[in-house]
Amino acid sequence: MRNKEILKKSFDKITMPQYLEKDILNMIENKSSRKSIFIKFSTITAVIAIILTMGITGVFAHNFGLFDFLLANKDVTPEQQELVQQTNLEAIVEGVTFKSREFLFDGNNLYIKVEVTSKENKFIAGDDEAPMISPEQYKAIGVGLFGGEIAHNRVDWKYENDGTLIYIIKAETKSLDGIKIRFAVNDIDENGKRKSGVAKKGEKSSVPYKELPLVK
Amino acid sequence: MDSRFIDIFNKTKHDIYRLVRIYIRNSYDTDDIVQNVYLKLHKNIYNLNDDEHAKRWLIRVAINECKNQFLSNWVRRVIPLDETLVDEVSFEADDKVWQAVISLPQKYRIVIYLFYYEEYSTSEIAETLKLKEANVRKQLQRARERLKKILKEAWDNEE
Repeated sequence: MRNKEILKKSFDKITMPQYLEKDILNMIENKSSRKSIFIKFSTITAVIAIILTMGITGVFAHNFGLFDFLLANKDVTPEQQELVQQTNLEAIVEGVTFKSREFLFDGNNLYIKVEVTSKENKFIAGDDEAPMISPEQYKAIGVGLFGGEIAHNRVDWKYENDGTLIYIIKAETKSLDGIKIRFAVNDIDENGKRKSGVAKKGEKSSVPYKELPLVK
Repeated sequence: MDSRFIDIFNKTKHDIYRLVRIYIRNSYDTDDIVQNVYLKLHKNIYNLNDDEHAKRWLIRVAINECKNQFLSNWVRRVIPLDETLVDEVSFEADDKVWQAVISLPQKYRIVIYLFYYEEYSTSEIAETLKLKEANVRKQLQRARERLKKILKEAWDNEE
């Protein structure tokens, strides 16, 4: 019983923030007061919603480009499309194929898209900590840009319906000199934590990986 | 505004927020999901018989919304290069127990919450999560073992 009380006490500390309460009540209030207008325009709204949904689906379908993603995230302006550069980086690590065909460099930020497929062509969303290849294998994918003056990566990833894992990586840098991309397949435990431990800067990692220069 | 909606909202808001927060672990997505859940409540409120029915319905809807969010949305993380490519989870709260629970895999977090906080039986959890009861018992057992390991203190067998 003591453990149960400890857990409850801990959970009790997590409560809905007041701003969210207000937002929800305002949203419902608006829905209620505008019901008649909503009904009058429901057909138009539905049509617009379908068009928008189709548009978004089009943008984020499997073949969406790096620029589509960056534009949707307001990372770039439409005029910056000409900054997209083609590349042909490809590596296979532990049966997992990594491919990168395009990147964008605007003088301050470097963005690159990576597509990852496994031999089985199947990924599962085991947890939000790390994308896993399979629940039995407990392996996780790692991708990253490093070298030059890069200090950290912002990584967005998404599973596609066909089993492909898509990464968009962002790194701050003013030059492409010395920049490499790393593709790794890590062994993880059931909690999504690396079995081989955390490789510190300067140490050689025991994790199977390949590194390729971004620009040859 | 509908007084029944306000009543159910006030009785359930913290529990639903907590459940989504445990599942998603990201406060921005949690806000969006909780808003969607209550929007659905507003649309379906007259199909719900009583408060207990409403709460169970809300929990099911919240879990489904979390699953949908996880499958459809992009996941974003910032990874320092001197650590690892698959890095550790960062926590916002400083509560050790909360941190321990939130560090568990998703499936364990939810059963722990439903069993210990909502006081659902294993059969009720099985029904809510659409799992076999034996699987729920196994998940609870494993979740306890992991919590015990993390917190380094004995956990009673309270099932």
